[in-house]
Amino acid sequence: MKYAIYQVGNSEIATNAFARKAGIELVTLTPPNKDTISAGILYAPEFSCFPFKILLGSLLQALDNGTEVFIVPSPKDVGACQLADFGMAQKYILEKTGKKFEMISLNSLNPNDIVKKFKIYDDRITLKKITEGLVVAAQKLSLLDDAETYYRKIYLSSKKKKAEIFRTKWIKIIDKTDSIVELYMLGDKMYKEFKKYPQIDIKDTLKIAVIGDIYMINEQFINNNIFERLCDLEVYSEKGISLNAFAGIRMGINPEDIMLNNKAKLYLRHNVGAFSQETIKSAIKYAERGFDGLIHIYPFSCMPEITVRNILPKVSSDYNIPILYLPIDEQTGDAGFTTRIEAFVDLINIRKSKDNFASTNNVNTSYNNTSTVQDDETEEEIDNNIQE
Amino acid sequence: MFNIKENPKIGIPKTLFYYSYYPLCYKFFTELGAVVIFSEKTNNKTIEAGLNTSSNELCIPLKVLHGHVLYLKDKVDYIFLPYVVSSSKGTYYCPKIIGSPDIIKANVPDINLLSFDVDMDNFYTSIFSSLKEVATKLSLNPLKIYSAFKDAVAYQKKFDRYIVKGILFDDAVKLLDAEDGKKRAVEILRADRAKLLTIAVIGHTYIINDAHISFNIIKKLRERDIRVLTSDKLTEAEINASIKYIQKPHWSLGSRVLGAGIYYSKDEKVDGIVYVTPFSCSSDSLIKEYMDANIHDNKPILTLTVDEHSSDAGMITRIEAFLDMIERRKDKKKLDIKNLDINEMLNESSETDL
Repeated sequence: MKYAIYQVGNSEIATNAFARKAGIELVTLTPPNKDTISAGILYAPEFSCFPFKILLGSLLQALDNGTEVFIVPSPKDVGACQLADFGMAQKYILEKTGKKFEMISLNSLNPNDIVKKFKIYDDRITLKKITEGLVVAAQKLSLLDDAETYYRKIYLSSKKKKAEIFRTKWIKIIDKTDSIVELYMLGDKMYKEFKKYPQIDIKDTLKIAVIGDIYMINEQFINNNIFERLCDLEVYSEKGISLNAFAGIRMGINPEDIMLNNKAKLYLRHNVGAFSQETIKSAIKYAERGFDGLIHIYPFSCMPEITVRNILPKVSSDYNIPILYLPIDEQTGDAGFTTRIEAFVDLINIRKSKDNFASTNNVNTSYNNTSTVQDDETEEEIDNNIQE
Repeated sequence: MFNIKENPKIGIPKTLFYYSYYPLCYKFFTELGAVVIFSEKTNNKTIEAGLNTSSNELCIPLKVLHGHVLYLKDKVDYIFLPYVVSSSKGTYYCPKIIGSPDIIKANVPDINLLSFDVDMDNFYTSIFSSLKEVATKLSLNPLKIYSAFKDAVAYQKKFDRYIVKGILFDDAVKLLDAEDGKKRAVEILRADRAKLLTIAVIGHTYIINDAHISFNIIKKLRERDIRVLTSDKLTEAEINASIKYIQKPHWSLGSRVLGAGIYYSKDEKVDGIVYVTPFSCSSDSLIKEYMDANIHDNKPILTLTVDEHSSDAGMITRIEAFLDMIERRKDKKKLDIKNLDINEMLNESSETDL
């Protein structure tokens, strides 16, 4: 049996490890490109969200490569997000092509459920294999996330080439290591090597966090390499949400997290689907940590993130942090995207230098007082511009 | 938090859940001595006001909601807008609807909303506790609450009975307070049944019943002497029975639309289905895939996508073309039964006509 599963960004490394541990054969999906997108658009309904179209495109390609069983995550606890409907809708669309296939929809990551669903197709699958696979996959996802963070830091402190060498080397190592114990050691090793590189002083650099939809943030091709672009502009960037949130890893009870939860609930009382409350939480978190700006990226017609997008302006004015909104769909152009990010970074730069100027010259003279008032006005204007 | 007022004015926007639960809320608040003020029916002004305050990615019902809230803002003390949290197990309302009070709070400054959680799964018990909370907050007479709620539920059930029998929303509102309501309802239904063509209009209740958003489609069809059935008419049991054999979609409003589509496609009395969906509604777009795969007996379906830019003339043209098609189909079916030879002749003649 040949299986295929959704892929986001680097997730293939994790799913491959899962497949090796569980003893199933996975078809490698081609990462999203122009062909998959146009194939997806051809079949997908007009107003379905962008990730649906891209994933449909790559599933169509997987069908051509001889996939027999699709594994579709349709978590029931995802709230009012379309993801839970992806599987069935894609099944109906793929059936139109006339090829035969089966579909497993995973309602949760509970190993018992997964074993039950796989047993229909394969007798050799056991609970032990599946559990081991899940643990390894989750561990790999968080390691990959660390590697990305180190990559961005090295990029800023030294050169792009060095950072790339570091990343490709460690991604290879993560891909090859399959033993759980070794994987747990790997994090430490990676950190030690990262420490050998010159470190950046985060205080002086501009800091921008990219928040929003999990797929958009983690799929490089779709978000037009936004993190590298920010690195090119000498901006330190952080991911609002990374793939290990998808694997359902929660690191115990965090008091800071509970505080943030309560703050986010003032803006959005219920989690309206997917990671919508998480987006508001991360917006507040980065504002409190002193970030200079936020970029909110979300797919066109994504319902949870559009709800959030309507609430974020209030967060922005309450916490005094500029936000750039970037809806993405199949018609998003490369150049327009770059221009907007560059303009945003310029604005933040001006804002920050003015802030510094105001704080250093804060001696109580009448002249300075008037100048700070003027500064405030211009800041507001900048904010307004950004919000619009 | 709330100021004590003898007769607080409560505004109810005429959109979203007004179309399903307005009798309940209206009766409850008036019984307790509050003054209930409804917003105007959706018109160009509400849409314009909504467009100016909300972001352009929202769908039309939410933009319209902004307009209604702005209309009520200065006229009332509180605007009643609940958080509709969950419905039956595993299904959800659209995120924008769940978060609509939060969106309004963020976009309209200084707004006094009466919002609380309503659990649609066990609607009456949940809304009772929530309404009780509201009534105590407004310091309305607490002793009256139970009897007021009882009256309100009876009023709502009376309204629901009309809807389930097949009376359309606008008529049901008129009949609800009329003394000879039942008599007139029977007359309306009798006249409806005598009509030759039957069209089912399906879609979210706040879209098909809103005359401005749906371009008055129900009235347009009735003017052409057509019997109109809506997706609101079906009971929960009928909906569930018609989608029993497929995996239930994730959306509760969506599964109503899907269930109604499948139900009416099986119904021989229904000649065609008109499906009204708002622009950029991504839940509806997937529901359409479900519907295409599961609908029976190649019943004609017209899908109308509405937004603030669509025009009346375009809608009329499409509806007329659809009706022409249905009538021709009907004539052809009659001929089919009468004589097969005539059918062949008709086919030939239609080809030469082209």
